[in-house]
Amino acid sequence: MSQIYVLLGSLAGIAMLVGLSAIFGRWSRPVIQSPADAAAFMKAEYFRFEPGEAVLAPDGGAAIVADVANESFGVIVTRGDRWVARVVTPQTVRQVKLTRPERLRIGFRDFTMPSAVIAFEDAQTAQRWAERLTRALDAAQPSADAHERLDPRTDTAPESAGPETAGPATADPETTGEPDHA
Amino acid sequence: MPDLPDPIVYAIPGFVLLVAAEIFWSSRSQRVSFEPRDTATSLMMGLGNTVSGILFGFVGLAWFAFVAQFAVFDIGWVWWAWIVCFIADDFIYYWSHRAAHRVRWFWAEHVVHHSSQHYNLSTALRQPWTYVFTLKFIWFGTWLVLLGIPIGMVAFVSALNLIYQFWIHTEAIGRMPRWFEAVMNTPSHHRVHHATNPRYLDRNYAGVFIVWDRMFGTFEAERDDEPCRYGVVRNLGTFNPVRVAFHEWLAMIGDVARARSFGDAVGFVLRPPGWTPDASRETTDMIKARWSAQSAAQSDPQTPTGDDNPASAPAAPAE
Repeated sequence: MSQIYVLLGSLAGIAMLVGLSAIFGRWSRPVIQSPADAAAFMKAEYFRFEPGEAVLAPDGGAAIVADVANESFGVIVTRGDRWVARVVTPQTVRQVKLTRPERLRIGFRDFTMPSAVIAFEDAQTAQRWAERLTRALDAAQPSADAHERLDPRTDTAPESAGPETAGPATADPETTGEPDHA
Repeated sequence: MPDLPDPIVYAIPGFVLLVAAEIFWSSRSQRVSFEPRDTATSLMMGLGNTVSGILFGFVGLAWFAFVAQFAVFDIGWVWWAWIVCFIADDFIYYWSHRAAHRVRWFWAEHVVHHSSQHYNLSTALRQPWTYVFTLKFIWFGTWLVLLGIPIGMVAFVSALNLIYQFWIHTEAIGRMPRWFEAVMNTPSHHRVHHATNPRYLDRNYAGVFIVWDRMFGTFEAERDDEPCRYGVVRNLGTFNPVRVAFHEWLAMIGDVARARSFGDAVGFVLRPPGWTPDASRETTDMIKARWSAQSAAQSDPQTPTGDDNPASAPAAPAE
């Protein structure tokens, strides 16, 4: 019985400290200020990464960075007050999908980060980046299921056109089913 | 045999007060920050560790009771045994901790402690739930009991060792006096241990006495020109304590299931984290070697970097 009290007391203590962290913890939502910031972060996280073109969410909460050396991409999303990065390779990615016309979802084979969702401002930009990611995955490892990585709905969307500099995107707080703080 | 209390139980209120104090201090400083979900995860991992100890602690105790029958000496509760036990326990802790970073089987458990990108006193409490499953208590816990030191004494000094390590998980303290930094593990030394900068990877395994790292070539001093980046090589994308607790175990099981030979399967378990038969992921040795080559190339542009074929290699593993 006393162990139950210890457990309850511990939970109360945890709640108190988490509350104090929220109020006094000097934390804030991280913002990726520029493509150069995103590139530098990917390079620091992945030693082999050679950053190229990048697209940022307008609120700076997410980014996609091209890896020119490996013909791949890196994805950066926020977790709490920090960033987390993953590379997009056939080994790491299960699926690239447009869940809405402007919303790109990348499913990872990663128990700690099942997916990342980036909401672009317009469907055309989302479609263009979905195709770019899928092309890179297919080129890296052509396979029977490679074409299934792209959601069928994208087939009806307009072909990408215009310059490769993508339009602004919006970081989606539902990125991995774990809501970000306000 | 004296009836010794569990020092950690008595230390817990102190832990809570010190974490609260550091949170308050963080609001006035620019050196520490707490993110509520990160704090929650760390504290829940600590609570789970305690629960795990209650549920499975008897396994270790049973083993020690068994081993004690074969003790070489009957040292008993003499005063000098406390000193011997404390120093020897810390020596064993060094090797146990080193193995926890160099053998994936042990890393699968220990990665939990390194999984926060923050470095504050709550990180000290981010402890694994699966200690007993690694059988570490057999490989590393047996020796002092086998020597003849009472089980209660070993358990007591091990707890003191862990309590000592609580206060070094902070950025609030810069450096201690030089004599102290030379002998003892300190916040500065342990920040290096938690850092993922290539220079700092797999360094400063000490528990209480940093001299073990100095003796065995694993010491690295914190540099003012290279701030520590905390976490693991591939940082976690979750605050879910269950995922934090088991992610590396699942990754390891998956690798073993997909192994093409028995040797590969054994390698996935006993070789360093990140090892693969085709070197398609990176171990810390590979990261450090690449970093060293690149650093050398930057200081001497004619030196080859050893980084000739990055395109063929996918990303590093989860950790």
